[in-house]
Amino acid sequence: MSATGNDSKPLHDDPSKRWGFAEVFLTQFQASRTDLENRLNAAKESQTATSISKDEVDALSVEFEKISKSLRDAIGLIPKSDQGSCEAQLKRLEKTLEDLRKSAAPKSKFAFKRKPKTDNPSSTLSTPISPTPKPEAQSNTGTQTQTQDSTTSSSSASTSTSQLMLSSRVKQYLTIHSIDGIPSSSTSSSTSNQTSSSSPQRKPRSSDLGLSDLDHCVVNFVTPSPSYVFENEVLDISAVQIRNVKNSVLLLPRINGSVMLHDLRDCVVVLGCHQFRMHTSQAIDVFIDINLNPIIEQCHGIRFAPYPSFESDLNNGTPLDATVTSMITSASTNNSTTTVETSHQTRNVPETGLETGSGTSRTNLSVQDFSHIRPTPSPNWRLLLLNSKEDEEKRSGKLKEVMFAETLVGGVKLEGRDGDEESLVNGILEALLPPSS
Amino acid sequence: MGLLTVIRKNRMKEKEMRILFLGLDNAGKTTILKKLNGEDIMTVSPTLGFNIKTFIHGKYTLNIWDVGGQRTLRPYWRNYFEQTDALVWVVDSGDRMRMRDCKEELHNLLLEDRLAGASLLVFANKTDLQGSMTKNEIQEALDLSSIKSHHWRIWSCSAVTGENLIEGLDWVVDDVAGRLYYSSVTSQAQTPQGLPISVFDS
Repeated sequence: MSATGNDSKPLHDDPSKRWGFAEVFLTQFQASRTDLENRLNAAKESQTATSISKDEVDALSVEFEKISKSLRDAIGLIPKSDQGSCEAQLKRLEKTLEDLRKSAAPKSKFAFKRKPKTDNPSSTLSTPISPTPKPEAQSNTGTQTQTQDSTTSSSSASTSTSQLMLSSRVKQYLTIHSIDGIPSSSTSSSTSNQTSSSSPQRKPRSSDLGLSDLDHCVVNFVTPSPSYVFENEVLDISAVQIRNVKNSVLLLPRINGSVMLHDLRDCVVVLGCHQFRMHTSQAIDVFIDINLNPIIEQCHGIRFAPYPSFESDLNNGTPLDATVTSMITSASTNNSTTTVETSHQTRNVPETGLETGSGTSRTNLSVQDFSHIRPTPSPNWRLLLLNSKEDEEKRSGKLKEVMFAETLVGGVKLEGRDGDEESLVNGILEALLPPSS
Repeated sequence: MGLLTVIRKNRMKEKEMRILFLGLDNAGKTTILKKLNGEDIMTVSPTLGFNIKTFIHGKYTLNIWDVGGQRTLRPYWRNYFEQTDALVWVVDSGDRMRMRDCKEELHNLLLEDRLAGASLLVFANKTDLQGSMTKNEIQEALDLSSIKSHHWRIWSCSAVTGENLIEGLDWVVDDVAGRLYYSSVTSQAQTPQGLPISVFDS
């Protein structure tokens, strides 16, 4: 360490290697940083006159990478404060670079161009159709995101809206209208009457549904159909997350996306979906329409059965089913075009799914149990219908009744008779939940 | 240093990159890959083991490993760490309830020696869904700002619409390319000055 002072600026402290390095590094860093900054600024200025070439931007980003790597390498060898300021400087540079890159290559070479999907019809239609709700929705932009979004549907860039969410309920009968921000069934059906006559085309709105912390509840999203909830848009639930639900009956429509379930106990779940994953749950009866293998992980006592279908009802032709169907048809003619569509859907889909027959001979449903990766059959699940058939058929009959009949009336009826809600819920739970073991 | 540099140089000649796709189950890893590759995404089923996809992106050949995210499968992730140039962490933006889980898994990964130096691309997937979390919310929830050990970037994207998939991939490929290019070209210039060997090579 013979400090011969080859520089004009000798080090005051003990010039330990560490600090020597820091100093050297920092000067280097600053020099290269300023250099890059100048180049970036120059590029930015010239860019207004002539568009900057991609190569140029690439060269600049290579330079940037060099600098930032040198900084990363130096972490721990330079003082924390210096490191922080260097990082901040780099951040700024990166931002500039990013802007440059964007303007240099506004369109990447290949993009999955999805047609803006009926954007035009909905935006042009929305103006004449709903003259009244529009200003109202705009006035409370902050809070009522649901309605706001339906009116500003023309800008497809969906900014953050609140998720469809139902949580922390006990002993309640819940429908789609129980979600905050969704109009009650009576108003929505009346508005849908108005609008549907003039706008048969609606823009489907993909939504995420979350159910959490429910106890002794009946959740019915099958009827009234969620499809005519929004004035200009069909609500399309394409993902479902369920967590911490106990002693409840969950009735969900068929959705296109995936369903995730966590921490369920003693429940009946009815749904159709593309992907099904259930974790850490116990004693669940799942009535499912799915083309893939459902997945369970850390689950016990799961029983699977096919999604209740109208097909089997029609075949059996019991009086109850006849009334159910007639009610559905009358309801759909009364209501709107969309209801017709959806009720058709519910009837047609069963033919495509796994449940081709009336559900008695369904051996092709195979469940993937990740807690049991062995050739032997998993002890954690079984098919529901293979056991005590009569009993279960009675139960699925009741299920259908609840899903399609009772609630069709009930969804509307319930509003007038709040007092009965608990007993109604209790009745349904008693009938549908398997006797706890 | 020497051997690694040779390997890197070699790899640069081939212009290959190895990219690892990880994330919780139901994040959409496979769907993103299928979409990038122009395959039908409606048939995607939960990944039971892993998928490998190789495709050309710009000047580079990407070898992409997509490993299932089911909890039971996560311990097996480590088998795929070797020689990974970039980690793509896929997040389901709608899955608010598992963000903590997601954060922990990610930060555990970043402690891995064998992933040191890999670029990190976070895909905030499923932004086409109403009510999903924004990019900033996810950045916050995953505490990305605390990551100093890796080059990272978050992109919101949608595997269903294809939004931002290419852009994100572009970034990560550029980032890796910059690094490979850098270390093979400038390392000679760097070492004589007595600079320490980079953390990646330790």
